[in-house]
Amino acid sequence: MNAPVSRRRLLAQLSGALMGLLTLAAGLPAIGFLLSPLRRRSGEAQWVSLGLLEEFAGAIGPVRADFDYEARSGYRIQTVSNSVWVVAGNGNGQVPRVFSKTCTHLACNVSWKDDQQLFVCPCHGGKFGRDGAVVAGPPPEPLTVIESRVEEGELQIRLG
Amino acid sequence: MSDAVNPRLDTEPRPLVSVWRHLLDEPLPQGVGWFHVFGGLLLFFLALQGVTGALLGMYYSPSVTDAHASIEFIERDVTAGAFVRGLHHWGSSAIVVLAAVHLSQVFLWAAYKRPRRLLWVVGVLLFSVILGFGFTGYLLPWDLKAYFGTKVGISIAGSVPVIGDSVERILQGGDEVGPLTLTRFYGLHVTVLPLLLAGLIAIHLFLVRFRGITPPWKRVGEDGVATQRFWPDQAFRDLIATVIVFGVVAALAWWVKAPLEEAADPSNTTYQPRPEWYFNAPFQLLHWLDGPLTVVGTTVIPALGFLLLVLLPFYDRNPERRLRKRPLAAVTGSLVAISISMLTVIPMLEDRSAVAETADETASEESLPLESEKSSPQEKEQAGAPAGVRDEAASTSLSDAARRGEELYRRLDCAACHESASAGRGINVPPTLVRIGDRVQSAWLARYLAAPWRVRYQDEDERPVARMPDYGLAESEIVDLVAFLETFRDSSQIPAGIAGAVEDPTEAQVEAGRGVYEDYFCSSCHVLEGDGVGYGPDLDDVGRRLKADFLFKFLRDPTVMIPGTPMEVEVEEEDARALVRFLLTRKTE
Repeated sequence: MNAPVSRRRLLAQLSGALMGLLTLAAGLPAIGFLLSPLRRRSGEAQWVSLGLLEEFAGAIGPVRADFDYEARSGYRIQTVSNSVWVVAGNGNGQVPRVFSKTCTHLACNVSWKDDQQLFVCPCHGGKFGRDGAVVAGPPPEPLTVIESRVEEGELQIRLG
Repeated sequence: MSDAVNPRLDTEPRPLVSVWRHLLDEPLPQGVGWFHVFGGLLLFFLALQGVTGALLGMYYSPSVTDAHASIEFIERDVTAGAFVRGLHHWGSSAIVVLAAVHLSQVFLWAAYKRPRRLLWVVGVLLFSVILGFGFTGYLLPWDLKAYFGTKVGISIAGSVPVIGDSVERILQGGDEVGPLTLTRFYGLHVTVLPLLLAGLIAIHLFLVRFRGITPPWKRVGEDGVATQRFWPDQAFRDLIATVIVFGVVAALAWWVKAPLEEAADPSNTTYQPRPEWYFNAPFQLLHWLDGPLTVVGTTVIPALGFLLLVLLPFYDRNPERRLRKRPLAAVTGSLVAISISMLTVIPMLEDRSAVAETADETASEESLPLESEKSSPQEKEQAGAPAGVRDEAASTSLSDAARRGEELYRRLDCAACHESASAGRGINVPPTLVRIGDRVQSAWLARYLAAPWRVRYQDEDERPVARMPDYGLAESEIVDLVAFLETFRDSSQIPAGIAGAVEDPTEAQVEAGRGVYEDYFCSSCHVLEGDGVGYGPDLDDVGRRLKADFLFKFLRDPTVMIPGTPMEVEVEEEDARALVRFLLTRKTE
């Protein structure tokens, strides 16, 4: 091996190292920046009212309850409208059960079909009974139950 | 990278590899070396701006309601957010510096001459695109600086004769600087300009490669012998330089951070707009060229300067590259470089002593605080209060108390009276708070804020313009506010300890001070121990009110320390020291 070649090789290797250094110096913060959402912030749970209990208690079929709540997304706090399914306690005085409307398969919104007496997911035909259990289709789990309580005659659900 | 011949190369054509090799093996003439790193540096930093810009774009929201909050979020909550934004901010300054050096170098070595004339033209266009990035990016944080700086920038463009109005509307995207301007600048900053930049860089690099790098100090036509190749000979030098400059930029990003003022507030009348430093030159020009000459500063000089720069290779046909054979170019170039540097530096220096500079000019003219609203942006800049009120560094590192105090300061709108252009200038007007932290003892300030009383020089026959209201502040609020006011300092003017040994004076020293007090006829304007005329502040309790260093400096140079003060006596250094010793012992029971 003659001298110029080894000089070239040394310079090439040093250059490669410097490039690596620069990539690292700029790349590490960039990766941290991109992965920042992985750092969870513990959001405070909030109770949101769905309305007076008596509005749900008498219903026979599941009722869709719409509600607004304050959601924080980064620097922005905004009012978000959402809905859940409320399954009344058949007049037996029990607190109604509240189900998430999100299908446990791939997160489409399920709706109640009176003629089938089932929650039906429009995406892949997932079906759930009025107790939330999977009746047919691909969903791996029953509909998610959302924690609820009654306060001063109001049906409330827990978010966050 | 190994030089061993790959056996596959003979049998299998690999076009990408051969193009890459061809690019890296660029032959370079003798003499190309450390001075040729600037192009590569620029390429690196422009790419870095692309990376950091793309990252910031993931959080930034170009809307007037969210822009500022989204930047605050990046600064505070995003991992490495402040650093990434710092890199973007300081990277932009680095690029302007590097581009200026690159351009000056090409001028110095006359590398713009045949056959590289087009290369020069593309380079100058690239420089304008870079400045375009700076101008549009400045608005995006939507803080006070962004809003007012851009307003002034746009109105400069608007003062161009005939087409000015249309240009202004096109830049603004509407009637005024607002939501439409923000989205417009954002669009330019993240799509139009990057595409232009990429295209121009491609042409620029192609031409560099096509024409080769200019060997230093040769006549046009004498292209040197290639003795080295780009990879790895020059690449190594480029990389070393890049690591060094990147280190500087990263250090600035890490420790100094990128500034963010409070959110833009169009109703603010006291804010003093400042351009980014690399736009200082045209701004400064407008200080001097006003009235009918404004058009020279806003249109003639920039347009002519740009044309002369772009067309340089077409009218400079001297085939020499050595500087001493190009006397005209050498002299003109140096004059231009010196002028631009001076125009850039002067506003920086003025910022440091903004108030001092203009004290005399405006002392007697202005009387009402509200007059500042009527003045044009340029005049406002001359009036110079808020930006010079506090040390730059202080605002970035406020204590919690001071931060709460700042909020209070804003809520009570102290600035409305105390930072107006006329504050402290003349009789019966609210005092300026410039250097208040240097000036007044915090205990006194706290006492005053708890129950304000009349302290200032006043004219019996004239009603005061305004009186300090008693805000009924809570004790904790007073502590916060005092902590904030304590940050209104200017250590460049009043270094700690400048008064020298004035503490605990002996009896004899106090008496000597009293003698000086009499020698200077202080009692013709001040009352002390029931003696004197009360034009100026009462001095009975001055020992509890003022700080020694300030008092010393004030006695030496009153009109500079308190612009607009009627006290114009300048006290000799030793006398001033004696007076400070004497006055600081004046305390009421």
